[in-house]
Amino acid sequence: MPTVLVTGAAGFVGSHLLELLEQENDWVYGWLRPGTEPAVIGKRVGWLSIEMLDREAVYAAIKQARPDAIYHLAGVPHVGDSWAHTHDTFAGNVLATHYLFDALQRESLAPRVLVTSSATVYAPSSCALNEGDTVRPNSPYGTSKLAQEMVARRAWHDSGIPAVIARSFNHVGPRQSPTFVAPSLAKQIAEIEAGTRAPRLTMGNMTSARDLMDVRDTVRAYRAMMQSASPGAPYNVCSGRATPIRTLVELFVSKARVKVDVIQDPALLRPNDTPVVLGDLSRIQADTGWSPQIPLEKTVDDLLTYWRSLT
Amino acid sequence: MTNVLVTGGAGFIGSNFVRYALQTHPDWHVTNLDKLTYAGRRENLHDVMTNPRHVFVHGDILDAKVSAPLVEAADFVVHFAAESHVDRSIMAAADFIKTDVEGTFVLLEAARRNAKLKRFVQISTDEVYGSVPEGSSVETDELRPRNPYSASKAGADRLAYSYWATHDVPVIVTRASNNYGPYQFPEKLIPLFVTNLADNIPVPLYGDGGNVRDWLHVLDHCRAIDMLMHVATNGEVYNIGGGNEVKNVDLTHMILKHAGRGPELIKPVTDRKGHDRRYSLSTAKLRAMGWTPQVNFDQGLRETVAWYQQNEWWWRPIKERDPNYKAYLDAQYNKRG
Repeated sequence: MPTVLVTGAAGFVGSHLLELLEQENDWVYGWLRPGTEPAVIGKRVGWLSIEMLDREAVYAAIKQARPDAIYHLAGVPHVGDSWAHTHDTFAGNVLATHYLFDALQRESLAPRVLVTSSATVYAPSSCALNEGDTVRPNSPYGTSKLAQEMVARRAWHDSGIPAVIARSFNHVGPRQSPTFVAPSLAKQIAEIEAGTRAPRLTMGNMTSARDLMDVRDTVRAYRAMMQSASPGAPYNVCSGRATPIRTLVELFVSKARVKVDVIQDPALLRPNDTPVVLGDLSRIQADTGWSPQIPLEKTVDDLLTYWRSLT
Repeated sequence: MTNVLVTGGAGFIGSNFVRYALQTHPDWHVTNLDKLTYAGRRENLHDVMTNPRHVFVHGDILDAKVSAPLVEAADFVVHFAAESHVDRSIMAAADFIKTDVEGTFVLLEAARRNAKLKRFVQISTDEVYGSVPEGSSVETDELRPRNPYSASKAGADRLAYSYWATHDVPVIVTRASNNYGPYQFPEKLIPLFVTNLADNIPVPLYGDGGNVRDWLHVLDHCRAIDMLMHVATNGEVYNIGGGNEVKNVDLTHMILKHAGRGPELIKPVTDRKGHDRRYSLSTAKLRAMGWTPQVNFDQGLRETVAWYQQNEWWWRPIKERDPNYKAYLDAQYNKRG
C-alpha cells in the first residue's frame, strides 16, 4: 500500500480529501500547522504537527515518512487578505513548497506531488481560460501561486520529481471559512432563519461570475490527477460553467425558509475584482477521465444544511 | 500484497491483532510465528486458521533459521512474542531473559538485512516505567522496571531502540497499559476471576486491593498499533493507554457485578513480591496524532465477562485439563494464606 501524505490536511479542502482517501487507502499522514485543530477527525489519519516554514522540520518529517504520494494542500488561501498579508502569503505558498521539494531532493525521493495552484495566475479574460493562456496574476496571492507552480516545475525538470499542478478555480462546500462568498451566504441565511440576524444579505459585487465547483468534485479531480496527470504542466480544475454571483445569491435566497432581502455594500468590493473567471476543463478530462458531478443546487443545499446545524 | 510478520500471534494480544489485521486490511498477508508455549494457543486463532491470507508457523523467535527468513521477507514486523506474566517471572526468570531479550535480538539482527522493512514495532509495556505513585509516565521518563518481567521488557525495548539509533532499523516502541478482552490466558486477573466465578470458586485479590492499573481494550490497542505502523516516526516511543485507571479491588467488584456474584467470593491473598502500586500513562502524544480509545471500559468489561461466560469451550480445557496450569495455580495461590 503506498504511503500517502497530505499537507494542510486540517483545512477545508484537506478535510474533504481525507474523507475521499479514507474510502480506499490505509492510514495517511496528515500534516497540520502547529496550533491548529483538524476540521474533521478522520478514522485513518495519523496527524503530525509540522511547521512547513521550518526547513529542517520538513526534512526530518519527509525523511521519516518516505511518502509515495503527496497532496500538498497547505497554503495561505485568501485572495482578499493577500494585499494586507503579503509576507504570509508568499511564505506559506512559495517557501513552504520549496522546502517540501528541497526535502525530497535531499533524500533522493521522487514521489508524485500534487501542487494546488489557482486560477488567479491567469491574466483576466472574459473567455474560458485554458492552460496555454497568458499568466499575469493581479494579486499577491496569484503571484505567490504562480511562483509555487514554478517551484514545482523546477522540481520535475531539474530533479525528476513528478509534480502535477492543479490550477483550481473556486471550490465551495461545507467547512469552508465564511470569509468566502458561498459559505458566507449560507451562514447568514442560517442565522436569519434562526432569528439572530436581520433578514437581509449584504453583498459586494454581484455582477461578477465565477467558475464554482463543489469541493468534493475538486478532491476527486486531485485524486485523478495523482493517478494519471502529466507532471510539470498545469491542469485547470474547474466546472467549465460561469455562475454569476447574483445567481448564486438568488439560489440561496430561494432556499431560505424565510423572506430575505439583498443589499449591496461597497466596502466588500476588492481592489481589482475580475468580472468573469471561467475555466476550460478539456485537458483534465482528456488526461484523467475526471469530470465534475455535483450540481450547484446540491452544493447550496449541503452548505445550508451544514450551517443550519452549526447555528 | 503487504507482508506482515506477527510474532506471538497465537497469544492474547497477538491473536486479537491477527484477527483485526485480516479483517481491516484485505491486502495484507499475515505470517504468524508462535512457539505455542502455554499461553500461545491454536484455539486463539480457530476462526482464522484457514484464512488464505494467514500462514501460521510453529517456531521460536530464538531459532534464527526459522525466524530470520520471515523477518527478511516482511514489510512490517509486529513483535508481540514474549513471556508476559509477572508472577511467573518472579518464580523463574530465565525464560523471560531468553525470549524477551535474546529473542528480540535475533529478530533485530535479521531486520538489519531487510532494506525494504517499513516498520519494526517493538511491543513493550507500561511496566517498564516501574511503579508511578502520582502523575503519569511520559515517553521520555526514566525506566525503572522492578520485576524480572518488566526488566526483560525494558531490555528489549532499549535494544530495539538501539537498532534504530545504530543501524537505522525502522523501529518504533509501544508501551501499552494492561490489556483486556477475549482470548486472555486465565492466569491474568480478569479471565482468572471470571472463570473462577463461573464455578463459584473464590477470586484471589492481592494485598489490600489498592493497586492501580490502567485498562486498555485489546481492540483499541490493535487500532493504535495499526495507526503507528503507518504513520509513526522511527526511533520514537508511543504510550498506549485506555485512560481507565482502576484499583484492583474496584475492578473485582465490577467483575462480580457483571458476573452476578457477591463479594463473599473475594479471597484476600498475600501480596505479590515487589508489587508495583500504580501504573499510569500519559497518552497525549498518541492522542495528538488522532487516536482515541473507542471502547468504554464498563461496556468493554461487561462484554469481556460475557465472552468468557459464553466460551467455556475455550477456557475449560486450560483450567481443568492442563497440568502445567494446575501446577502454576497451586504454586502461586495455594501456598498463600
